[in-house]
Amino acid sequence: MCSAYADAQIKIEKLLTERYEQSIHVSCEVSYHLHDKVKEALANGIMMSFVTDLELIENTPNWFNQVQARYQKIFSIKYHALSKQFVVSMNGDDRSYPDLFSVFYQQTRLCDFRIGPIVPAQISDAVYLRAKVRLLTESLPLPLRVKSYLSKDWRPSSGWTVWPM
Amino acid sequence: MANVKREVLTGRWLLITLFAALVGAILLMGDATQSVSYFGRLHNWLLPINTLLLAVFVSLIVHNISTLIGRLRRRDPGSKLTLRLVLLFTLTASTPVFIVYTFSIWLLERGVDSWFDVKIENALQDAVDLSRSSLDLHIRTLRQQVEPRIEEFSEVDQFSATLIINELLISTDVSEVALFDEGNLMMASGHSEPTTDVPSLPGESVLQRVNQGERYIAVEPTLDDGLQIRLVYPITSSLPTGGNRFVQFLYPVSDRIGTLANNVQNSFGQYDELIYLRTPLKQNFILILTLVLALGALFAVFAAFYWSRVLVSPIQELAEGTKAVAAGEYKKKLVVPKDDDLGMLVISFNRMTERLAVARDTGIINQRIIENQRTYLQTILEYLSSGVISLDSSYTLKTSNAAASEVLNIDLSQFENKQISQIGQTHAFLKDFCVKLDNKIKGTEQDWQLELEVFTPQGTKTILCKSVSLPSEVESQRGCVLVIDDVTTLLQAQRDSAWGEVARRLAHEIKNPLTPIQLSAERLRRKILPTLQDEQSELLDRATNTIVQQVESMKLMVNDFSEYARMPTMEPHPLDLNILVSDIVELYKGDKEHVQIELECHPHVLMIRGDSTRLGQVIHNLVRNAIEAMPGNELSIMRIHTYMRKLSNTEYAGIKITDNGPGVPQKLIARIFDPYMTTKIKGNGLGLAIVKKIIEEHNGQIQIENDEVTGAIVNIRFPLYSQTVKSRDNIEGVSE
Repeated sequence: MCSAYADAQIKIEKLLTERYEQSIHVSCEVSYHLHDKVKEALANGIMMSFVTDLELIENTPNWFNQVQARYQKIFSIKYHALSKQFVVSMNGDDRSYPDLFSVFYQQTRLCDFRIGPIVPAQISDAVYLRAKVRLLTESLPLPLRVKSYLSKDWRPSSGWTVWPM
Repeated sequence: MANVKREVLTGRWLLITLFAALVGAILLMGDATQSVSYFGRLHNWLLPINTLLLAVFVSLIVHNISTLIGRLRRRDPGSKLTLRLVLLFTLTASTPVFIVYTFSIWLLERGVDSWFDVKIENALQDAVDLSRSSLDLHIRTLRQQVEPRIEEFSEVDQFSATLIINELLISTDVSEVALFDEGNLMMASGHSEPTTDVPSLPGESVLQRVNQGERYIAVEPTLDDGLQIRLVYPITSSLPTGGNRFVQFLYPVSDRIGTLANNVQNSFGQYDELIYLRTPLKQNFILILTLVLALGALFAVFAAFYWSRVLVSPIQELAEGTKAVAAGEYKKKLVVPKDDDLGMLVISFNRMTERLAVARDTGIINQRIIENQRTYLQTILEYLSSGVISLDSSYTLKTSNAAASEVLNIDLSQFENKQISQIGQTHAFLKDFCVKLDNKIKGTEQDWQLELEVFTPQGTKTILCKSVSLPSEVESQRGCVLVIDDVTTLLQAQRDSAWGEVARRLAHEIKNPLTPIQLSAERLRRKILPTLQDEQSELLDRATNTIVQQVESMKLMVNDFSEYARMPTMEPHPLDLNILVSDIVELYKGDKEHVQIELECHPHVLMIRGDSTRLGQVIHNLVRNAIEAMPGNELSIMRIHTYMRKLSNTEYAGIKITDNGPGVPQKLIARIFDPYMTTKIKGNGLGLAIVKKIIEEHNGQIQIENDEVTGAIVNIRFPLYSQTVKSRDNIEGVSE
């Protein structure tokens, strides 16, 4: 396993795979060390979206590896001032959490994929997984979007983390 | 010129293109700031486009600056003017830009801040607090209803729990009740709406808190933008199989309260978001403003370079044209840029170069004519027998011809650009000549003529100087021209010819009747003397004797004249002056008792070039004159000594004869050498004239002066034989 950003604000610690007959369940352990500015923005009602990309890659003799499957999961976080809850929305399901710690560490569904249908014969040594978690800067309000272009603090990303099957 | 025009044309299109791009970018930015959604679509392009524009402007300006620095270092014409214009344009453009920028920033700060009001913020916060209080009231009511019944779930089984839940659903406002055992498995549940799905498990964070023995009571937003109150209580079961249980109560907030609360929440959330985004928003506006102004300022700088180049290019052309004209390229033509002031200037320049070219060509032709004339004159001067010397206004010798050097017996080319008086300082024999010439030149007389005698190593020369002034309005061109001629030979010839004619006539007119006179006198004496008495015969005898003697005397005189008039051919050869003098003086020793001759010869041989017979005649004449001049009643001493003297670089041999006679009367000294000039009663006055003539024929010089103590001193000088040969060689060298 290797990560593009060793000191990143978001880091994929572990990628767990569980094989089934025609599918593979992938879950990852992600640690979030967001900058205080990002946390402050979240606490001030700025909605932020994070996206998790997962790709099944096969090494090829040429320079360009082949992407066999690509998956994406987006969740957004918004502070609900009246209830003092952080509302996490994902796939049309909203869940409330009293703080950011609960948002990022007390749930597993943020990085939970089921890859399939897939034939076991397709899984060889040349096939590997890579995942990336990042803040979707395009979803930020415009003033912050410009900041995200200029400041790395506003572009938290884990970079691609490669994991063998 | 074509390159400059092409460069200007390219620059113009570049300028127009960049200006269009700049305007486009600014308009896009302006539109983007008006609409958030539009900005959302464009912002991905705006930043790269503007950055690219910035990079283009910066690179163009850097290129222009480096080009300008190169031109300044090369001192190209117009480069300094370009620098001044660029600085002027930039300063002119930057000052209002800076003012507008500062004012805009200030306005932006104040403008954005004015969007937010503390009162609204407080009101919204109060509204949120009010909503929370309202919800808290509901929570308290619900708690009072459910909390007394919670303990009942600790010791009941699944069936009993369902009964309790149904009772609670009926007796309270709770909409959903669910009991979970230790493994988070639902034991029993109930909902006020029977068709509702199975209740969902609380979130992981809630479960963790409950598992730790804490209760969870909170208002939560629902999917349909409503609100619900979630109460989760941990229960410690006393049954052996019970374990730790927890019961969850859900209470939906009424639609009206929920809607109102959500409105408050949404408004507060939006306002809170705006307050948070205030600073980034200002920074965004400032960034855009800075970008626009930076682009504008850079465009202004680039435009300053362009317009400076456009303005300076005709001047640069003119400067280069002027430089070309200064270098002699008079046919340089400039293309007239426009019909404006600079165009007029270029037209005038072209006319000027045309006229200069014509003047240059005329000048070249005139110069050639002058050169030809100069060569012609130079040739004439070189072959002219008269010496020609030109002096400038400060009496500096400018030019001289070969004849001048020959006349003065020196090389005059050594004295070019030197004062003429320096000639006398270098050559002593020309000292008097130069002094007299200098006085005459510096005098008030403009055109004059002067005859001077110069004792050169080759002998005495009579030089005729004529001066013609060169008047000019230009100080440096003033001066005079000296024409010098050696008229020694001419004068001598004239004199000799005159005196020869006189002598010849005298000899012819006088000598012829002398013989008849003498014969007649002798015949008278012979015929008449015997017939006369003593007294008369004595008278006749005396008279005829007188006549005969005088006739004899006249014959002698006529013979002398004949000798003077005669032009014998001189046969010069080297001879020792000491021997010549000694031989002649030996003849006179003891001749007169009262005359004592003291001879002192120079210890070295005094070899001169001369005719020994004629020089002997000179010494005879001088010795005889001295003896005759000395008084006969007392002992007289005549001193003769020969000498050699070096005057300047020339060596002479001389004879000095000193007597103790009465000397020569002062008034006659100047004309003592003229024919028929004598102080003796019996002299015919031709002796010294003949002496002088012979000495001059030997290029010598004779001087007679009186000594206050002794008497007359006769001094004769001849150039040494070696000197004569050397000088002749030198003159031949100069002539070549």
